[in-house]
Amino acid sequence: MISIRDLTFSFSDGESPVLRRLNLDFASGEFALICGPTGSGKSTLLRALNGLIPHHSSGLLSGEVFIDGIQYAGKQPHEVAHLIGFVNQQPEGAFVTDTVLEELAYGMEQLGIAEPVMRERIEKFADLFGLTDLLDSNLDSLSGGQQQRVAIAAALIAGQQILLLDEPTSALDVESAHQLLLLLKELSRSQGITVLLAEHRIERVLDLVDSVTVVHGDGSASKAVTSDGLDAVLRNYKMVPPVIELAQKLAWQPIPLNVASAKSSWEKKPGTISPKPAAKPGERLLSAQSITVKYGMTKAVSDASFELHAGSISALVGPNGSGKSSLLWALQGSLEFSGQVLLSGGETPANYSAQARLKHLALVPQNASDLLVLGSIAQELEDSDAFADAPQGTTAEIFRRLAGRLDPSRHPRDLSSGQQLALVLSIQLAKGASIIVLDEPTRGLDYEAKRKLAAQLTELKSQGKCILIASHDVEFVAVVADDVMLLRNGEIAAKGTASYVLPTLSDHAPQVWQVTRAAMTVGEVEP
Amino acid sequence: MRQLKTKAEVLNTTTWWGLGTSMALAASLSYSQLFLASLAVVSVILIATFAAKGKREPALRIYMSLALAVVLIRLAFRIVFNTANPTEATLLSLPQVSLTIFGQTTNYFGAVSIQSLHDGLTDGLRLAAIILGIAMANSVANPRKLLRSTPSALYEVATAAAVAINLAPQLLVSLQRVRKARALRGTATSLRNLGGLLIPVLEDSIQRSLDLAASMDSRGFGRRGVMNRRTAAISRTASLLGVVGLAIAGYLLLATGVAAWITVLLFVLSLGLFYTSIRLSAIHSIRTRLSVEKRSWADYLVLVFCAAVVVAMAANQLPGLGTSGWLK
Repeated sequence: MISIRDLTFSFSDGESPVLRRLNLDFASGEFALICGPTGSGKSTLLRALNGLIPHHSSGLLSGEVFIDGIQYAGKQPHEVAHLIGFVNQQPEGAFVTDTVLEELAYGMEQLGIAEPVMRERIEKFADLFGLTDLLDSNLDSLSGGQQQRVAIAAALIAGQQILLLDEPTSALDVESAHQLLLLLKELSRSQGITVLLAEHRIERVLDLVDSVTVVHGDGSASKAVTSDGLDAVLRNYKMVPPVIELAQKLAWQPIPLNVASAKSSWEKKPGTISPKPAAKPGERLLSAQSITVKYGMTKAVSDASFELHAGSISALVGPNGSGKSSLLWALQGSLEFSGQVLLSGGETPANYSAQARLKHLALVPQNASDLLVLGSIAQELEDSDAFADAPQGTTAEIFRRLAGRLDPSRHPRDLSSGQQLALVLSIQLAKGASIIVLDEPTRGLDYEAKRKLAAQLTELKSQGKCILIASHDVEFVAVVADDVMLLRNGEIAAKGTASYVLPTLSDHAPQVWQVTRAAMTVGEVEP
Repeated sequence: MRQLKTKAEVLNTTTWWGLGTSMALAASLSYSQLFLASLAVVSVILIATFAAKGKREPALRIYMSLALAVVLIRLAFRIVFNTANPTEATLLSLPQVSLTIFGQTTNYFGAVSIQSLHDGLTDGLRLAAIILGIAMANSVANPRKLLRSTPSALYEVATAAAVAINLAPQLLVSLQRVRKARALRGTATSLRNLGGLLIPVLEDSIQRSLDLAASMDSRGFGRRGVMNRRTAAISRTASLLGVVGLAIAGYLLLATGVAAWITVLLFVLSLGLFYTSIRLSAIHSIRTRLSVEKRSWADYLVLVFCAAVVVAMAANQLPGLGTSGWLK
């Protein structure tokens, strides 16, 4: 179906290529995973296939891409639109129209498909993707999962046989992401669609796909089919999901790709479990009593009560829209709520000015880079010291402990997402807040960056900070959190230690727990 | 009669944009404070009546404050950069400050005449009316919808327009998000960090606009049927010349000292070029429509009225044609 020959791409002449003489083949109906660290060239590869590279970015592309024997590399995206559907990370930014119906029709209109055929296709695809009742809905009123389904339907509705997806699950919660992956599997299996999926969160993907292509970041890529030879490809690839990490640690052969086969490997060759020692909670720093947040008539959070302690990491988990963010912003004090938030001294954050609040509680939002405003790391660090009335170098020291030594003249926008997060975290810590609240901190981070973040948060915890994170990344929560609160429809459905709450998520529980039924993370298992 | 889903659907998307641009055009040609003020008020009423529920309040708040700011700045300019005219009645007597920079002396403040403030108010009102006219079209009728019905001859222009049109509303969304995030740092928005506020906002908005253009392209926008090279070249040249012609004609209309017939001729020529280009590519267009937004008699009525007003006012501007001075 797709044959890539000697494909080379570099952003400018003389720069080392992002893709170097790639040769890859994808069969018709293949469900292919393309993984690799952030910035390794996964997106570049997808975009080069449909012409967005080089036509919507600068750079030099050479080599050939054959689709059913015809060379397409270098063509404009609209010239291959009838063959290839493309779905982006954020569907809401890629929608061209207002309603589901118009969005489904748009591509077919551009390709000149006759009206009766269009109506027939829309009916069929709406049925296939479960959109029939939503046809007249406005796109911005849909949930993230629904939006992605519309985007995929719209990308295939004109009869395209190839679907390219660039991290489509990054904004979705575990359940919606899982549904989406099953849908993709179904499309490749029963409709014969060739699906190329770029992802760095691969723990729930591996056992669904037919092949794995690792883009290494040095311009090269290696591909293996999942039934054979995957061990070799993944061995060189350090960023593997928990199940595979476990398999590597316990030297299981062959490497199990899903929980079910890992379970049988565990039965044959189990490890010994030394559970993480339970955290000794420090002094109580915050107590929240019956927090209720309302948007008009709808309750985003209802009657949430809990306490946060020094030297501990707590996590809020729950699907998108369950009220995690609202609860965080209410705690921080910039969102109106009823109920009470008391700090250890008996004060309420909302009564403080924004500046005074930062001495007690600091929030790092989802798009952390929005907080970065100046032209270099050095300027940001100095500005932060001045603003916090802290001795010169305070923020720089915090940043160094979190992120290591970085060239201070670098522009904050040129840092990786993980480094930006560390910089924002340092700035927010400079005023001496003892409570740090982070909203979805792992969004957009690859395994390596997540590992670093986990180490940073643990370091802060050992300094006696109280940390609260909202996340739908259960594997990350399993690694860092002492306590977990599960939010459902704005209510705290369960709370307690991580080892008590996380197993109640059954199918969405941490993979290592699903396999071992005792340990939460690979770190707790020894051969 | 067809069931209307939103109030704005009483008129076609193109009609709303026709109305908005006509109001802006009329405003740019008028010197009457009363006329300009009524244009502004009409725009505000239209937004309040026809814009979708969630969009109405933010649109009114933002565009009205922008319009007000423009009027105030214009008036302030008249006071600060003052050129006192002794023949005019003085309203306000301020001490005059003369500054000599690079050998050039400029006077600031001094006696402010009624006439000067009156002119300043007219200038301000004109800009405000233009802003509100376009804002009206933008908030009542989705610009993306307008873009969908762009002829494919204007592909390059339309892609650029997609990026540009989407930018303004996107700027507002990004601005709100970044400001909310910045408040977390406890930093007040001062002039010093205004640049810091603008950079993430601009980066975000431009990125999203480019994403939209990329998405449209990936879905087949800009695709045309088999058109030989020559026809394609003619079509493209014609649309390009049309744009240049219109721009020059617009300038001539406002400039003085050019014979009226040249301006009129240039207008007609440019429109002719546009028409040719669109016709040429329409023959080769492969695009189909799921449902065509039909124009009703109301649409035609509004459009004809708009065209009549704009033509009459333009004629009024041309030396030798309009002498009546109505609306002036």
